[in-house]
Amino acid sequence: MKMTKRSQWALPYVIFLGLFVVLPLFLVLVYAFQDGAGRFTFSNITRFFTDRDALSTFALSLEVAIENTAICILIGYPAAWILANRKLNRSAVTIVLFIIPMWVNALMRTLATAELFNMMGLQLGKGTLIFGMVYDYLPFMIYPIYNILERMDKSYAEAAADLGADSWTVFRKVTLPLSLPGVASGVLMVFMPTVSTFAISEFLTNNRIKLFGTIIQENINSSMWNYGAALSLIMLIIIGITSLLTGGDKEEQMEGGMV
Amino acid sequence: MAKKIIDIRGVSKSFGGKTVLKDINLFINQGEFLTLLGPSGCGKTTLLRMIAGFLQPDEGSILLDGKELGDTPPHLRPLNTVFQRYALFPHLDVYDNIAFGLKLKGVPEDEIEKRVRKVLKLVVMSDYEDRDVETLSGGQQQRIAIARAIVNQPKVLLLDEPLAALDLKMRKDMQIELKEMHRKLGITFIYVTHDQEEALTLSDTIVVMNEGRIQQIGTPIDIYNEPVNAFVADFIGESNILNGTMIRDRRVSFIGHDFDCVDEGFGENTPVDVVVRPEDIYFTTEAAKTQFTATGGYRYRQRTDDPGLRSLPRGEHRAAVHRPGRHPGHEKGAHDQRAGSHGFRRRQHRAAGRHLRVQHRRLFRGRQGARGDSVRCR
Repeated sequence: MKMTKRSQWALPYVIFLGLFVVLPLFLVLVYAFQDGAGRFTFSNITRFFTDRDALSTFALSLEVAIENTAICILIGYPAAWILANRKLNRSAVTIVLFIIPMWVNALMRTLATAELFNMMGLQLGKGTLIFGMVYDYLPFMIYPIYNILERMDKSYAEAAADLGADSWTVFRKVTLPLSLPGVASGVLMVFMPTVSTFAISEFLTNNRIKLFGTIIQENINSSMWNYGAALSLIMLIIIGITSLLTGGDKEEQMEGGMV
Repeated sequence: MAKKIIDIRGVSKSFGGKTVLKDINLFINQGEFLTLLGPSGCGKTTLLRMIAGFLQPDEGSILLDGKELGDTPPHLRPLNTVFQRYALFPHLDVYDNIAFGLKLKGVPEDEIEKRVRKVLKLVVMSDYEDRDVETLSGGQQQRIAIARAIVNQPKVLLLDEPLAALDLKMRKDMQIELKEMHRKLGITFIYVTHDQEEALTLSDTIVVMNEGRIQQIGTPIDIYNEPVNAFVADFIGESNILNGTMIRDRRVSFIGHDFDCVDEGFGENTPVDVVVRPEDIYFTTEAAKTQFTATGGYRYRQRTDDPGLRSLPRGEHRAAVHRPGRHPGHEKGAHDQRAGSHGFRRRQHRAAGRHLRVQHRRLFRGRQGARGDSVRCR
């Protein structure tokens, strides 16, 4: 009797998940395979794969997301390493400074960045788009890497040094491989939202560059629910594949978790 | 004459204004099993980390084979460490963990393989090469950590409380194995522990430390039988430390009785700490053998090994604290450690610092088989 009572405590959560996660996903699935009149069809999917514009937007989105993720790793890893290194960074304030931008609404940050570019008279385009994305998503790369580096047992590096590794070799053979789960976490958190973003491209390129998220938004806004749903489904699948590729080890993913 | 492999000269270290090591002078002989023993926070691990090169002394110097190590980084020192929590690389298997150091040195692959197999055999872990280190038990990880260090044939092996994380049974087994490995390899071992029993079992030489200073250096027998001060006496083994007065040479008074003893040179009527080991107390009904008589109802407060004490029947009993040379089983003057030991050991109150050396000398004066050469306080 007691057991059934306990399990009933989960009910509110089950209802919540059902209403706000499972049902919407299910609706996306249903809409994706319906035409405007509600009949079952594959045409939405086939339309995407035959639509040259949609495909090239999709390719561009992936390209931008990959570039953004790569730049975030290149800047974020050393930043996280410096933050986690007690000798170089003695105060927690620096870490907070890196995290604070995350407290500000991303839309506002993006608008402000766009305004800044306008003031400087810079041509809005791919360069400003990538800048805005890196600016927006960098903390999401730094934090999980910082977390894993900070918690890493220092005796691993000491053991490597003790066995004859100079500091570069220690990093290459021990610190870097052991921090990869943090990088994987960061990749997930940066890559996934950049594939689907539309606000940043809208503001930072004045809609000159359209991303995958943008065409989904355009379709939904112009009441083309079915095609929009199909595009969303495709994006979900891409994101799903990415997380499968990077997030093999669930436990270590947790370690690199967010604030 | 044994060769000094490591010579520590006047080393001091403080962290954030707090002194953790104060003027440490110590040398370690080639092939010796030396233990740094002390309670946590006594500076023993700091000293070990300085030898390994992870920390730099504020003052003083450390010499290896007569050459000053200075600020040589850890990776250029021909020493290897076994870490407290082993620090095996979780992303590498057993073989790659052990081969790590050899690969860095550019040892040819077939040579690496030969040496890895050899050490695996030594630590009784053959056939574990391909295992993931995280699937191993604590004891097995410990063996791999030792293998990973000794495969590099270091001049000195540093061990930082390597058995602390193991359960009692495993610890006992590993103690025997460590001793055996030390004998087989002939490498100098510097071992850090807070476990006095471990130190007494394993070591050739024990360095007892407290609050950043060396309290006493000697063989386990020296340290046990002749603690130089109340701290060492209390830290090593079971003992009763009592306030007493040295009446004159060879005569001490405590618990309201006067006793014979063999120590001298403290002066007359000097307050001393009297250390009575439980095994030095004997109970007998033969009045002739006793130094101290008590009758039933007297409450013994001494700690003792003798299980009979707790079940003493009421009535008259006599407690004897054995007289020098009358230790059962030993003839007077026999060339045996125990024969030379005393029923009492007394030290000046709060003997420390400047008294240490002087007292130490006194201890060994005139003793048969005096091991003055193992006295290393400078």
